[in-house]
Amino acid sequence: MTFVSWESVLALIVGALYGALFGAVPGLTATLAVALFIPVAFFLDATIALPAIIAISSVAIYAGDVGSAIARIPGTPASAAYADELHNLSRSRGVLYGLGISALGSSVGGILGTLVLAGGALALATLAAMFSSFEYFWIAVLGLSAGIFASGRHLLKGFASLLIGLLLSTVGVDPTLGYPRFHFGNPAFLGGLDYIAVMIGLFGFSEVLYHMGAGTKSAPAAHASIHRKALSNFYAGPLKLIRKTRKLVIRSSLFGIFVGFLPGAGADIGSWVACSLEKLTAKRKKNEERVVLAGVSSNNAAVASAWIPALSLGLPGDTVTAMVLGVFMMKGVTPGPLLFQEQMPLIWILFGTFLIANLLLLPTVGLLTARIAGTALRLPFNLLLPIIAAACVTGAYAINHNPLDVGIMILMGAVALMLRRGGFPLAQVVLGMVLGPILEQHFMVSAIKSNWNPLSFFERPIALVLMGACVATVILGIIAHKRRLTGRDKGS
Amino acid sequence: MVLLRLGVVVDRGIVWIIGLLLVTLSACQTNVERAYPSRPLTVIVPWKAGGGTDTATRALAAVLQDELGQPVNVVNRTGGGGIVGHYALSQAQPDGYTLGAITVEITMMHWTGLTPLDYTDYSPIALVTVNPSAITVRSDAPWDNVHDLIAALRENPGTLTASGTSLGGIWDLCRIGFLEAVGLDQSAMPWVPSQGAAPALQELLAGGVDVVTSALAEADALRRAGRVRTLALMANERLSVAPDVPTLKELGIDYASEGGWMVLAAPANLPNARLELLRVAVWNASRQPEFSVPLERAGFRLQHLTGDALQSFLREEDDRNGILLNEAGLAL
Amino acid sequence: MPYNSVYLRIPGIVFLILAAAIWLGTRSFPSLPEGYPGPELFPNVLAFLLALAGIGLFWRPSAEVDTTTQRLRGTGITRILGGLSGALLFLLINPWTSIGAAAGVTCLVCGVAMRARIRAVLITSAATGIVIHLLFSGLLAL
Repeated sequence: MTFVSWESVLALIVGALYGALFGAVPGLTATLAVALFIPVAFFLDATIALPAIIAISSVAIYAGDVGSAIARIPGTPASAAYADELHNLSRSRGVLYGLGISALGSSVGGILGTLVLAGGALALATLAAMFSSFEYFWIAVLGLSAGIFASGRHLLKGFASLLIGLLLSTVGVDPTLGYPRFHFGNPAFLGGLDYIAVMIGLFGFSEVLYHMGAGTKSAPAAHASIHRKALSNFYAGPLKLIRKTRKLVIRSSLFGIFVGFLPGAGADIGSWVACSLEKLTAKRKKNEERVVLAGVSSNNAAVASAWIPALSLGLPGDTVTAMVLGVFMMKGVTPGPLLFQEQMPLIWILFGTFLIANLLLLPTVGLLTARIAGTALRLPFNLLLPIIAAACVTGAYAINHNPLDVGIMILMGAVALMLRRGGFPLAQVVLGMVLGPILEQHFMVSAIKSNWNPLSFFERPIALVLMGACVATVILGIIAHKRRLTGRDKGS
Repeated sequence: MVLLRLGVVVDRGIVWIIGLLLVTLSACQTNVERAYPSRPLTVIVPWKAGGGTDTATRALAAVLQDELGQPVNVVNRTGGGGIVGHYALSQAQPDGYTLGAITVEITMMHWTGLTPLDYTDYSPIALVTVNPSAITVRSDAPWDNVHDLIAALRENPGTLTASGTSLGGIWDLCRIGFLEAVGLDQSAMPWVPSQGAAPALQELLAGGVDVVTSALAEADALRRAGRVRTLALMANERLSVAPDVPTLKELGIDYASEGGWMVLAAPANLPNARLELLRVAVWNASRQPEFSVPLERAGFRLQHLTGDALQSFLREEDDRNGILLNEAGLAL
Repeated sequence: MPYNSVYLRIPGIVFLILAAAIWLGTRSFPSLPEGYPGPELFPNVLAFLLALAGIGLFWRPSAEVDTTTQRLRGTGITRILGGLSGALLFLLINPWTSIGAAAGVTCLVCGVAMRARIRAVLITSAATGIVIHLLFSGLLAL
C-alpha cells in the first residue's frame, strides 16, 4: 500500500478549496460541505475520501473567519467569540494581517491537536467515556461563566445578552421531553431558531443596517495598504507574534483539545474559555491579536481532537466525525483500539493528512482566500455594503431553505442595532443559543436519572473537578474584573 | 443640489424597474410542459446531515439520478423532532419534483398531538430501509444474554434505566414493547430521555444508564470496537452485518419491531403516472450495488415495499405505535 | 447622562415585561408525573434571571454606551427601514422560480446601494445575482 498517491494529493487540494468556499460563504458550513461530499465518498477508496474530508473540515473552520474579517460575520459560533477583535484588527492593520493570524494560529492549533490525536487518542478516549450528563452540565456552566467574563467592562450587559441567547434557544420542541414551547402556533417554529441565522443577523445584517443609517461617512478607513507586502503581512508578522506568545497558543490549543474530544460538547466552549481568559487578563486594549490567536488555535485544535472518540471508541464527537464513522463502516473499517493495530496504513494516512492540511494547506489556501477578501474590500464601500446584505440574506436562506430563517435574520439585525447602541455584547447571544440546549438537556437528564436528587450533581469525581473549575472561573473573574476597573480608573 | 437629488431618485427608479422586469421574466420562464422529469428533483430529509436517514437518502439520491436522468438534490429541513421536514414535504407541490424521506415519526407525532399530519398526507413511493432496534449494554455488564437482563429486571424492577432518544421516541416505544412482551411493567426499566442515540451511548459508556435500545446501526461502531455488547435484535431475522446477534424471537420472546424506517414519499395526490415512474426508478436504483453494499455494511436493512403492501405496512405501524404511545401515557 | 441611560432603562423594562410574559406563557405547560417540573423549568429560571437583570439595568444604568456607534437621525432611520424592506422583498420574490433567489438578490443589491453611480450599481447587482445563482443552483445544486 502506498501512502501517497496522486489521487489523494488531488483530493487534499480540491477538498481544501471546497472547504474554503463553504467556510467563507455565510450560511454554508463545514458540516454541509462534508455531507454533500459523502455520496461521492461511497465510491472512493478510504485513502482518498479521508484526506478530502480532513482537508474540507480543517480549511472550512479557518475560512469561517474570512466573514469576520471582511464584514464581522462569523462563520461558526466558536469564531463569534473573537469576531469583533478580528474585524477591528483587519480594519486597522489590513485583512492580510488579520487573516494571517487566523490561518497560522489555526495551523499551529491544528498541529498540536494532531499530535495529541496521534499520541494520546486511546488514553483520552478512556477519559471521554467517563463523562456522563452531570459532567456535561458542568462543562456547559463553565462555558457560560466564561462567556459572562468575556463581555468586557459590564458584566451585567454580558449576562443579559447571554440570557437573551438562552431564551432564544428554548423556542421549539423541548429536546428532552418533546413538548412544544413558544411556537406561536406556527409549525415552522417547532424546529427552533437556527443559531447560524441569528448569528448572521446579529453581526452581518446589523452592520449593513447601521451603515445604511449612518450614511457613507461611517465607512471604514481605506484598506489601501493591504496589498503591499502581502507576504510579510500574512506570514512574517503573524509568525513573529506566534513565537512571542507561544505559551498562550499552547494553552488555548489545550483548551480546544480538551473540549473537542468530548463527544457533543463541541469546539465552541474551548474557544470561548480561551478567549475569555485572554480578555480578562488583558492589560490594555492592544491585545486584540492575542484574543484572536487564542480563539483560532483552540478552534482548530478541536477539529483534530474531535476525531479521538470517533477513532478509538466508535462514538462520533460532532456531525463531521459522525459522517466519517459512516464512511468507515461502509468501507468495512472497524473503529476502536484495534484500528490502531490492524489499520496502521490508514492511521498514518490520517495523521499525515492532518499534518499536511495544517502545515501546507492552511497557509497557502489561507493566503489565497485572504487575497480574494482583500480584493473584495477594494470595492467602494457603497457597493460592498449591498453585496454584504445579499450575502446575509442568501446565507440565512441557504442554511435550511427556510424563509423563516431569513425573517429571523432580519429581525435579529434590527434587534442588534438597539443592543449595540446600549453597549450589549452580541457574541454572548450566540453562545447562549448554542449552550442553552446542552445545559437544559443535561440538567434534565441528570435530574430524571437521579430522581431529582440535587446532591447527585456533586457526587462524581470529574463532576466535582469541573464544578471547582466553574467556581474558580467566577472568583478569579470577579477579582480580575475589579482590578481591571480600578486600574482603568487610575489610568484615565 | 435639488436637481442632483432628483437625479438620484430617477436613477433609483430605473434600477427598480429593471429589477422587477428581471423577476417577471424569470417567473414566466418555467411554465412549459415537458416530459417528466424535465428538471432537477429535490428530496427533503427531515433529519440532520450525517444521521442515518440522511446517509440512506443521499446514497439513494446518488443512484436515483442516473435512473431519472435528472439531478436529485438532497436538502435537510431539520428540527422539532422531524416535524419541520415532514411538514415542508406535505406542503410542497405534488408535481413529482419535490420528494422527501418520511420516517417512523410520522406514525407517532399525530398521536401525541404535536402535529395533525399523518401518513395519509403523503403519496408513499417505496419503503427503502428499516433499522431494527437492538438491546445494547456495556461490555462489562453482568448479563450474558437477554434472559439474564430480564431476570435482573424482575428481581429489582425500576433500578436499571434505559435510554436512546427523547421521551416517547421510537426507541422508547421499542423498550415498552419489549418489556410488555416479557410481561413486565414499563416502570421496570424507566426511560432516561436523550437527544439521540449517540448521546445515549455516551451515557451508557459513562455508566449513566444501563441499557440502550437504539438501532443496531447506531451502536455498531461501538460494538465492533468492543465497548458495548448487543444482546439481541428486535427484528424478525438477523442482520447480515451482525450475524452473531440473535433476534428476540430466536430467544423465545415474541416481539419484533421494524424500529426506524425510511419511506421515500411525495406530497399527497401525486399523479399516478409519475408515481409509477418513480416506483420503477426507486426499485431499479435500490438494486444497484453502489447503493446496497455500503448501506448494508453500515447496518441498514434494505427492504423494498410499494403499492398496497406499503399502505398496509404504514397502517399497521400507525396502529401499533398509537397503542404503545397510549400505554406510555403520552397519547392525547 | 440622561440621554444615554435611556438605552439601558428601556431594555431593562423590556426584560421585565418579557420575563412576565414567559412566566404567563409557561403556566399551561405540563409537569412531569409526581409533581416534578418539566418543560417549564428552564424558561422559568431564565425568566427569573432576566427579571433580575432588568431590575439591575433599570436601577443602575451605567451611562457608558458604545461610543463607536453614531446617533441615528430621521433620514438614517428611513434608510434602515429601506434596508429592512429590501430584505423582506427577497422573501417575497424568492419562492417564485428556480432563479427567484438570484433575482431577489439583484433587487436587494440595487435597493441597498447608496449614492453610487447608476452603472456601477447595475453591474454590481447583476454580478451578485449571477454569482449567487451559479453558486447555489449550479455548483451546490441546492
